[in-house]
Formats: sequence, structure tokens, C-alpha cells
Amino acid sequence: MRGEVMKGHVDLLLLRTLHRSPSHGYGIVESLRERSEGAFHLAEGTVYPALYRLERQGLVASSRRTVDGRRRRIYRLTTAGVAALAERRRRWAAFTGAVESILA
Amino acid sequence: MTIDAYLGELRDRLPNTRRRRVLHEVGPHLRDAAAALEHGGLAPDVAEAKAVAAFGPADVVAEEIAREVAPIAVRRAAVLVMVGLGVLVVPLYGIPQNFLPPAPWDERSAHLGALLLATFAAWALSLGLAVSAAAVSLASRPRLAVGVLGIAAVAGLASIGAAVATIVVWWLEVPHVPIGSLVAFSVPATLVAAAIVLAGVGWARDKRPLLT
Repeated sequence: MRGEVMKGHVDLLLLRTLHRSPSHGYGIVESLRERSEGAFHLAEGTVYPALYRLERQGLVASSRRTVDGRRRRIYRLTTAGVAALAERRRRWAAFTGAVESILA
Repeated sequence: MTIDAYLGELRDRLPNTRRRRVLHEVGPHLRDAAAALEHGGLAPDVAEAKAVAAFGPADVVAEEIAREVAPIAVRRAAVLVMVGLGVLVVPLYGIPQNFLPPAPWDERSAHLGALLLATFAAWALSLGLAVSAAAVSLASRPRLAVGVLGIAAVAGLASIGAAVATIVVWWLEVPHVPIGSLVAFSVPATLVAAAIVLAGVGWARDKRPLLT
């Protein structure tokens, strides 16, 4: 899937990925690639601005930890992030449902 | 491009606000990505180049990060302006309180009282606006916060002007005002406070093109 198409949905995808487990930037990119079975070709650098935005909005929090001998910044979902994810998933389901009913 | 060259380019383009943090995150990211590609059979230099290419152009990444951290800079600028206006208490109140002889309150001229009132009203307004700007920036309205900070700075400068006029009138109307000592302490303190306020406003205005 092209980057421009992906861009509008990055926040939702990041929230869901971090909901599964806290992770660092590279881990998130890997998780997105694996779960989409390689369909998502996102410029990896765009993940960080999105993470900073979510952190500023209080939906994600981060702390530095040592992972595999390297100091990494680990992101995790906050309580507000869990609620935002639920709301965005509901909106996404409503949107895709409406599109499906038009395409059917 | 090698990872080190890419990190160098990114370092040059990133805003100060997050430079260290971003480089501490992107470096290990690229090295992990290159290691995975190398593990998959690529030569080390090819793996590095591929990892860098997958990350995206440094200028695009840096600009997107700058846009995301600009509201944080505006929030910090608002705090800086509040500090500057707080420092302004020293020349506006602390120094005059310790150097000016009591004004002849019973027979003081109306314009001296009006100037005193104007000085503190302008200062209180400027501080109130700076606090509002900080609150507005916290409420994700950074562009509005920059505008409010500008008005706060104007009100702060107006309070300085009113304070100068107050001291001049005081000096003319009240005998034995030690004007030399008053000026020697007030002028540097005022300049420091004004410099902090203007630096804060300048910093916020610099970020304005990046704010949505």
C-alpha cells in the first residue's frame, strides 16, 4: 500500500500495535510489516513524528530502557490511548461498513 | 548513504527541542534495520544504504518532526515569557519600593496615581495573557498561543514605559529621590526581564510557520 494512503491511518495503526505490546520505533515498524504481511510500505521515519504527536496528545507514553544491550525508547499506550483506540476503531468500523455497503 | 552520514544530515536539520532524543532513537533503529538486512544476505554497505533509504529522506523526516515538536517549543516559550514578566516585578516593584521615598500621598498629583495604576494594570494584563497563552498551547491551539504571547509582550513593554514615566514624575514631584541608585538597579533588571520576554516571543514566532 502506498505511503500517502497509509498516512491518514498511521495513528490508528500505531495505537493498535502498542496496545498489543509496548515497543520501540523499529519494533513497531517490524510489527506493522509482519502483521500486514508486507503490504504496508511506510517510510520508516514517518513513524517517529506520529509517535511524538500521540505522546503530545497524551495517548502514548515513553521511557528509556535497555533492550538487547541497546538503550531504546519504549512506547506504551496510556489509559487515554486505550480509550482513543476504542473510539477510532469504532469510527473505522463505521467507515469501512459504509464503504462496503456501497461497494456491495 | 551510510548510517553515520544520514544521522549527520538529520542532526543538522532537526530542531534543538528534540535533536538528542531523535538521534538516540533513529541510530539504533537504522542499525537494527541494517543488521536484519545483512542477516538476510546483503553486503554491509548495501544493507546500510537500504536501511537509510527505507527510513526516508532526512529533510522530510526532520520537517515532520519539527512540525510535531513545534507546539512543545511554543509551550516552553510561554513559560519563558512568564518568567521574564515575573522578573519584571524587581524593577517595577522591588527596586522602587526600596529606593523611592514615600510619595506625599495626601497631596500627590492625580497623574502619579494614574501612572502607578497603569503600570501595574499593564503588568498584570501581560502576565495574565502569558498564562492564557500557556493554557491555550496546552489545549493544542499553539498558533493562537503565539498571537497571545505577542500581545502579552506588548502589554509588558507598556508596563515598562508606564514605570519609567512613573519614576520620572515621582522624581520631579517628590524631594530627595535617589535617582542615580534607582536607575543603576532598575535599568539592568528591566533589560534582563525585557530580553527574556522578547526571546520567548521570538522563539514562539519562529515556530509559527510549522504550526497547523
